[in-house]
Amino acid sequence: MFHYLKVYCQFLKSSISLFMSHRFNFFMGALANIVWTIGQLISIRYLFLKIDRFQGWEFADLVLLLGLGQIYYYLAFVVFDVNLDRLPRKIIEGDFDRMLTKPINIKFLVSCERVAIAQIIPLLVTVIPLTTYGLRSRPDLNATGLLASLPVVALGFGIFYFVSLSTAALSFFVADVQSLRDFVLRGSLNLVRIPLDIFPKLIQAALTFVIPLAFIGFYPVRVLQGGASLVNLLLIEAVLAVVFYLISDYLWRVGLRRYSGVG
Amino acid sequence: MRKYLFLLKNQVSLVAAYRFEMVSRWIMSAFDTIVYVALWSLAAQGDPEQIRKVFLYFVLFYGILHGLQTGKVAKWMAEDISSGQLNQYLVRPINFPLVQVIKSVTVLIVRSLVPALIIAVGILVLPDYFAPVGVPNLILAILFALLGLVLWNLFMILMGTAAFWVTEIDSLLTVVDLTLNLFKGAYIPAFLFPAQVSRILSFTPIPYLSAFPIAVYQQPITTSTALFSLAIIGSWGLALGLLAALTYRKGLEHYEAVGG
Repeated sequence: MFHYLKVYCQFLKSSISLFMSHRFNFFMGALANIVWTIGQLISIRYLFLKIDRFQGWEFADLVLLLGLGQIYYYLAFVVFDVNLDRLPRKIIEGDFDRMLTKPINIKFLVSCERVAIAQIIPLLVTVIPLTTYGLRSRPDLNATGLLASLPVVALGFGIFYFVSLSTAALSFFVADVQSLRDFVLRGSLNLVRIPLDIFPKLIQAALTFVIPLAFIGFYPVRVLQGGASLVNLLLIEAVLAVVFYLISDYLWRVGLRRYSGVG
Repeated sequence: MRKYLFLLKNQVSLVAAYRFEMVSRWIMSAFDTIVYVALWSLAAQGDPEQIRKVFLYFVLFYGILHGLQTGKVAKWMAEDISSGQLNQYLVRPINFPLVQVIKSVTVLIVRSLVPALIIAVGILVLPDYFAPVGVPNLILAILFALLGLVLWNLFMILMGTAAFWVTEIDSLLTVVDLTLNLFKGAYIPAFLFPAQVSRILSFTPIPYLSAFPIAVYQQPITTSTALFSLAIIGSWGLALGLLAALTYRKGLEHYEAVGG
């Protein structure tokens, strides 16, 4: 464990050097994300100038949903998506062979080789104000509710890591996998901003069990609102985490065997 | 002209080879449509007419028009300029920006085909939701959408020429694109913009990229509005065209002086 921590520190150091040498591009990338979030915030504000609330959801709740969705988006990109996105290219260009020769867990190496330092900026600039505003605007907010929603978010994050790892492993089987990743991990993430209540039951079930987006934003907010059973949620999340872990593990094992076989 | 048509044909085969990517893009557009229709239907507060309007607005926006305005022209120009691939174009009797536009338009044609087909079927099966206000409006909407595409590509050529002076324009493009999205009506339906904002925007090229063609599709248009819009589009087209040609020439001089 300590060894992996030391290696991760080295990855972090080299990522900081890389960030410093391409400051302009990285800052512009961060700025783009900030602009997008501001655009979303303006649209929600404008919507709530026309309506007061719907099905128990108020402006602050939607801001909180947006904030939580952004936490996942940026944090995932900072920690692992920046690397997993590059796996297909590494396989095609043969760079993956170099990684296989390293005396370290290949999934760790593929997931954590680089840290997207620049995305920490929008994480701090947009997510903190959004979630703080969303939380402070809740009159019934208490420490218990806040603490209870944290494991829901954390487990949701874990589940999505395994989803991301699984889709990355598909690179061993098909060449054009980035589009699928974009669709599952970016496109669908748009739906995090919408309370699931307004969708039909079938879509709600799909966004809970197939692409488990609901655990990133919707259910944590529901827990804060007191509208969801924490124990049931954590149980479902634990089961989903195991299922998605097993899927990712299977795809990686078969994928690596196939990769070694092809050469 | 024949060489450009040949390029167009080649590009179609190339794009068609990446079917998986195309399908993913369609699904992502569908997601965007669902999100914004779901959100803005709430503002309609149960008024079925308004809900239909919001639905059709976002179907047209994310299904067709948003996809037509990609940063590919600028991105490809920048890549070729930075890598020195531009040299290959300079020694041939071929127009470099035009080649990038043709390449980009091919992608867009293939990409828009299925959404356009879905809308066409929708017009036949669910005319209340999909049909334009009249056939002349449909023709005018297509015409204005094409003019919007011309404006967009001129702007992208202008952005692409920035690569003569700076090494990387990708992130700059994203910032510009996202900022424009707010005013184009990607997050808030343009017909819900405050009147003052709409009035100011009508003098810029922004509404003519997406919002105006959709408005023409959805509601009757007066001759004076159509003529005013054509005048604004024409003025901006001329200005952007001249500016793009000038910066491209200046950029080439800079490129040749410094070396590719």
